[in-house]
Amino acid sequence: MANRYWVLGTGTWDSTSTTNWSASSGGAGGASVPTAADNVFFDANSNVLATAFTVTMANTPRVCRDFLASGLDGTMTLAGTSIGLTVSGSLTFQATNFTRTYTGTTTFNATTTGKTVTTNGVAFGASVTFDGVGGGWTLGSALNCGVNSLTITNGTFDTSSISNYSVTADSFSSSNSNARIINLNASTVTLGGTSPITFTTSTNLTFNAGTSQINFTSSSLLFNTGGQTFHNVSFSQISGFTNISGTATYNNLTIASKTSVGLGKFNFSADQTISGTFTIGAGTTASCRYLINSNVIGTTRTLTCASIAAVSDVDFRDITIAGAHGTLSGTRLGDCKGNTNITFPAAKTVFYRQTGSANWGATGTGSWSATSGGAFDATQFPLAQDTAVFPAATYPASGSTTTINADYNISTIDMSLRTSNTMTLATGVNALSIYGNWINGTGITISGTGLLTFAGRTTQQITSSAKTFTQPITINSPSGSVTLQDALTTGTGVTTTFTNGTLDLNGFTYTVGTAFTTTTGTKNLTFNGGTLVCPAATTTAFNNAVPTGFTTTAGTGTGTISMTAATAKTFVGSGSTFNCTLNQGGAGALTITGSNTFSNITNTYKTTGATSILFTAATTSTFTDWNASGESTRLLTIGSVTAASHTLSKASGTVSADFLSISRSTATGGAGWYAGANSTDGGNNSGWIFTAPPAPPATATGNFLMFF
Amino acid sequence: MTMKIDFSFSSQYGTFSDALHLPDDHAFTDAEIEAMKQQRFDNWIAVITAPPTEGV
Repeated sequence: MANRYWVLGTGTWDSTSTTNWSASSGGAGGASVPTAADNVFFDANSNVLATAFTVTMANTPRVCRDFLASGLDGTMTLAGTSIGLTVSGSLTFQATNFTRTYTGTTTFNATTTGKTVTTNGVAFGASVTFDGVGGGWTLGSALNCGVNSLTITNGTFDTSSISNYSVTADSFSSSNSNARIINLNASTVTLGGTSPITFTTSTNLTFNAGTSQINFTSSSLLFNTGGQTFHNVSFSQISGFTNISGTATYNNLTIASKTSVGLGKFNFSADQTISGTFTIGAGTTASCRYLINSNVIGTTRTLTCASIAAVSDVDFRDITIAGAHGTLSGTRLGDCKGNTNITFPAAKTVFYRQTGSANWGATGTGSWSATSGGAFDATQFPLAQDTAVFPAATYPASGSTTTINADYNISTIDMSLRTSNTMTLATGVNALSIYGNWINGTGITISGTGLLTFAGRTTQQITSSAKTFTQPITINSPSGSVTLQDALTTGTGVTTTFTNGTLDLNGFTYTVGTAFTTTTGTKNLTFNGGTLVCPAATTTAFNNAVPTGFTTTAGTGTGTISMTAATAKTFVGSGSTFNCTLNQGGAGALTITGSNTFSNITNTYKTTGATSILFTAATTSTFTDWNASGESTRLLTIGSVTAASHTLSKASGTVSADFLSISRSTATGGAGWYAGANSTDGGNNSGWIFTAPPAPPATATGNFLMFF
Repeated sequence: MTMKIDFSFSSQYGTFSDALHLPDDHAFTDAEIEAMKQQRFDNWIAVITAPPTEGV
């Protein structure tokens, strides 16, 4: 270990140059470049007279043991673009006459305790990492990492139990399995990033929150608690989406008031315990709201709270309040379902009151009234359990646009009275959750690209009145149902996602856009004679991506899934049972993947052209009935996607088809598979009989009559 | 109050089933109602025959 002193003012600190290094303060240059075992000093003798000088680091990272900038009588600039500094001992920046402009990572890698980090108000310009097995660092002043990350990888990081120095960074991360300790004492930690704390893997992490105060300043963030115990944690106003993951404990958990119109969403991925006070800042008006909810619809999160401050203008979904506070009540609380121990105001009907184009949520007196055409009343903002009505008359005037200007939770939206008085309902990019019915009038135009999620968990209805929904639609209503009241069509390019609940076509036609897709959940598609039309020419036009929990119900009448694209499309069945008819309804070849069971298969396109139905090789498709045939000069091709056979199975009875061109098809199961006299054997078939089925045997009575 | 008039059209693309929701006291003639039904079917055909080719 040696000491190295910077001399001769401006120069370069790289891996080879010895010009500016001396073995003594103010001594001759030419000493060796400091190694990680050497202490470096920058002092009054580092410059020429008292002039400013710049030490430009090169050859990243520069290394040293202790770094001490002290006694400087001219301004020293420590420079270096993207050049890191690795300190194996302690670090001290001088409070005056010292400027940091280097932008590389600063790493502290001591392997012994007793090290100090004293930056004296000098902020780092890049990430700061503490990574030394057995190392221990105590702050000697506030630590400011600016908009950069602070990472504890190994060792003990302590903010000083005596002075409780503040920490400022973009993020504070410690996610690994190394032995490490974080002591926050009574410090204030201010984190401005969108992932301000990441303790995802907290194995071997000892986190001592002390009586610290952690402040998050981003309006949208992911807080990965790692299941740790925190003291006071505060969020500034949340405008977007915030998620808290890990089962954590807090003293006080505070969310600043919502002062901007909109919905700040607070997702909890796990249960939380607040042993002090849970404060959800009140909204400025009813349209300035928070949503406190589980990250998964239908999965409850419990917030155990010793105390909850007065609450207003907050929506809750899948939240159970437990603990000494008891049942939570407040002002204008929105019930987004799945809550326990929260008292909500009774559902009411409110009426849109704006006379021209305006927003759903507005400041001042708002956009709503308690009566049709009554006075503006800011308190009548429609809550998640209310019915929002658009009157027929001038509220708003014909031709107006009403913009749903945030991700609001909406119960029933009734626009049925809007017929001759037209209105555009614009949702923009906002993602809306709907808990009641959606009723269009014939004078309605819908616009927007944000997601519509039907999440009511009870009986919901959609009356589209022939108005195309431009938004992607998700059905996520655990134990609930969404029932069509007429034909429903979504815009081209948008997807329908089926997650939870029953989608009852109720005898009507539901025409989806790009795809109909299932996701994780318990979902049932009930037809009652209705038809699901998938018009997209894609490999996921019907995509049963998550077949677990997916069922179908025929109900009354015959249901149909019709694949109508004019070019190739795919029905991804994923091995489910489809209590409906699968229809080839377009010119493009229909590929069916998975070993599925169908009530029936048809081909309605035969009247205008030839087409194909192709099965994935080595799959078995089971049918109750087979009614897919071609027409004269328009054969329906039955084949495999690849050069191997598929199997078609029908347990009993007779398949009576015709005008088929069949190849690589094994027909089995017990039924008689008659391809018809006009069908073509393309080879590699088994079980198909290329004749018409035999005439039914004459009955004894018939023979008797013929005899006579 | 409103009345609901269910209707269906068959096509090569499958069956289109829809409903008209009209006021009980509506003044539409049968011909006008049939025209409304046909318009809805025509609009649906337009959607079906111009399918998207790419996802969003």
